[in-house]
Amino acid sequence: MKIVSEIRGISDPYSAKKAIVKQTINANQLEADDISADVIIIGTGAGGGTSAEILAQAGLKVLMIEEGPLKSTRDFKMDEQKAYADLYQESAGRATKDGGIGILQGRCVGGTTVINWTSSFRTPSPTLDYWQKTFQVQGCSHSDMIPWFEQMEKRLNITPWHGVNENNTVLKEGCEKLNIPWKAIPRNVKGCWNLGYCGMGCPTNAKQSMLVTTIPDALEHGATLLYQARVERLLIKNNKVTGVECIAFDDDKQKTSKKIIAKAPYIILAGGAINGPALMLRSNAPDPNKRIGKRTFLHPTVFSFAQFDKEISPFYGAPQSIYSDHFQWKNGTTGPLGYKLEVPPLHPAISSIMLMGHGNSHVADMAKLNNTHAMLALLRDGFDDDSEGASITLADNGSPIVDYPMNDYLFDGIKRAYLSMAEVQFAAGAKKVRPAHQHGQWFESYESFKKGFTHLEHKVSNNLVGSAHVMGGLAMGENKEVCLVDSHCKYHYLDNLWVFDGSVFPTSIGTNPQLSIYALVCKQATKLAKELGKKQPSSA
Amino acid sequence: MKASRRDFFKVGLLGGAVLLVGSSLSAFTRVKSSKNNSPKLDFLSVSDTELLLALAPIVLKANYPGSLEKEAEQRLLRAIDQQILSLGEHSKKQLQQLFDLLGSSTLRYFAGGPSNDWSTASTDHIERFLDDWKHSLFALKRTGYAALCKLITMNWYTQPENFLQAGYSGPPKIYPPQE
Repeated sequence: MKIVSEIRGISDPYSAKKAIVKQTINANQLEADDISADVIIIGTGAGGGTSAEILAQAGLKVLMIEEGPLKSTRDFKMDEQKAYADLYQESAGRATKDGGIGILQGRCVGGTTVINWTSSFRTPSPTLDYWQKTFQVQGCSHSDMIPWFEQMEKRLNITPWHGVNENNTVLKEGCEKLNIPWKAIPRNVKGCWNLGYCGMGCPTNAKQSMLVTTIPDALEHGATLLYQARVERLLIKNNKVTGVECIAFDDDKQKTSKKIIAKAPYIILAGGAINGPALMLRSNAPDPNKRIGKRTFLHPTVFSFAQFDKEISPFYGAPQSIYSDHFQWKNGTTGPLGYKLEVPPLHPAISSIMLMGHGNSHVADMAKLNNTHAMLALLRDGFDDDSEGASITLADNGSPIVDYPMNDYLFDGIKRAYLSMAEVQFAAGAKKVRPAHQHGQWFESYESFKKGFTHLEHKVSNNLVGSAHVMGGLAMGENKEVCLVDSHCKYHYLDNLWVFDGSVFPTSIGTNPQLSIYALVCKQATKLAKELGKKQPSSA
Repeated sequence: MKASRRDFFKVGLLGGAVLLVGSSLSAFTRVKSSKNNSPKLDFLSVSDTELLLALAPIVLKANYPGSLEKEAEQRLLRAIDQQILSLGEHSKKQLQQLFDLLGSSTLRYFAGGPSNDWSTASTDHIERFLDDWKHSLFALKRTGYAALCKLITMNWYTQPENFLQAGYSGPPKIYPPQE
């Protein structure tokens, strides 16, 4: 794989087109204190972006409200510090209540689609079957969903990627040696330079995130984008959302005194899991069974490092291009935790966290990064009685707290995942393998790994556990005992509120969730656009 | 499984209580660090910066201060300060309590830290403190250890001057189009 040394001639869509510049407003600079539209969309990630395009194309006056800043091509410098500060929730420092799981989530126009690693998978059929059976989700079977997957795959140019870097080649070769099935990952990119900085904002506009696709299209169809505006609460009266109260944020991410009331007859919540449920809690939304924020899932993810004699250069090339689902559905849908194997990129700052620990051993591991590969196992939470995920509560200032108790069921899955990863890494020719664990040592063979590994204790803050996928908290289904939105994602207890994002997933997905969000939202927003078009012939 | 969850809860409460005491004790003595030649810091107090600067050479060993030399301290502190500032209320409060606990000479002594100031603590003592917390049976100490190490290493290796310590030759150079 060729390492690119310079980038020339890329323009920024947010300074090039007039319509886009005109209808994009920093909340601090809005002169009025109120603003109105046909539809308000809260959040501009996978769910918000997809619905904005569909509703704006249907002729509705759409207002997108985004908490984060507008950062675009010219701001993407492939610099970890700047990217985490500009584009991530809590500067990439978001974590669960006890600190056990770190959470990477976007906070910018385009949401997590701006900083994800572009892996795009259809929702696995066992997941959709389980939703139908357990939560009485209707109209979302695998065959129901196929046209929507196809539509969004076409829209975002999703195709399997073949420019595999060394870091991902390790997973492929290890699987081949062990006779484990692997596949190429489909990615949402167009003219990708194979640079490796997807997690810091794509500097070449190749990643087909919401920032360069649906949001500009919605703006060209007359939508307005209000950014640096956090929705503090929904104003609710007689089972209706009557307005949305926002606070403007300054460029240093601090609250200002500017308050804006936005009004529209129809409201779409697309703030993502964690923030969406927190907004519902702050708004005292009707919730007779106390389900808001419950069943929040994270795909808890664990890591294994492997050192090679050859150079891996894990900084460069498409971050994720190979996966294996061999261990994901092996034990059926329920039962012991299944996991998907993939690879993370290893830029210095994030690697320094994943390596854990301090002192000479940490320094030595950092120095070998160019010869280091890492593998990850993404654990499929939410499919067993022992896997209830997190619940969201509020801190005194109304910000979300994610309480995810790590139990024996989870640690059992974590232990098996380390063993699988080490076996694949040694099979691929690794000289040394080390689990990402505070007390994890380097082992020189799979035999010694299996023996030495049994001494490790698995508990909070011993294991490095991360999450890049937040799902659930406002579960979808007709089973009202546990679900808050119906099979069309309309909130059960409010007449004009729809939830179009990953927070409606009643379990985790079992794979990187962006295409699951795009396709489900595409289906729901298309239906809603038709209904609203009929009700409002004047604006259609 | 139920029993272990209950135990964890008890330990959590105990730890929480200790930290709360720490917080109220030192609430009177938190002095914002904004004097003379120190950088403008929004979250870290003088005592917090002493702790972090005492830990940095132990956590980063030969890589510290590296080619940043005299600038290393300020760059690291400024980066950590800004990261904490953007954390959610819950995490921020927990870190505040952790810093307050370790800033109080009495409490940090009982928590395994040095009784004298961090700036005069011996390398051995700091090493022992870090190892004690890393291996602790208390989830709160383990999480405290992990948080301190993360803050220091992450904000160190984001500095471009330190990329080579990680064998990283940096990103491609961008030439913006002429507009």
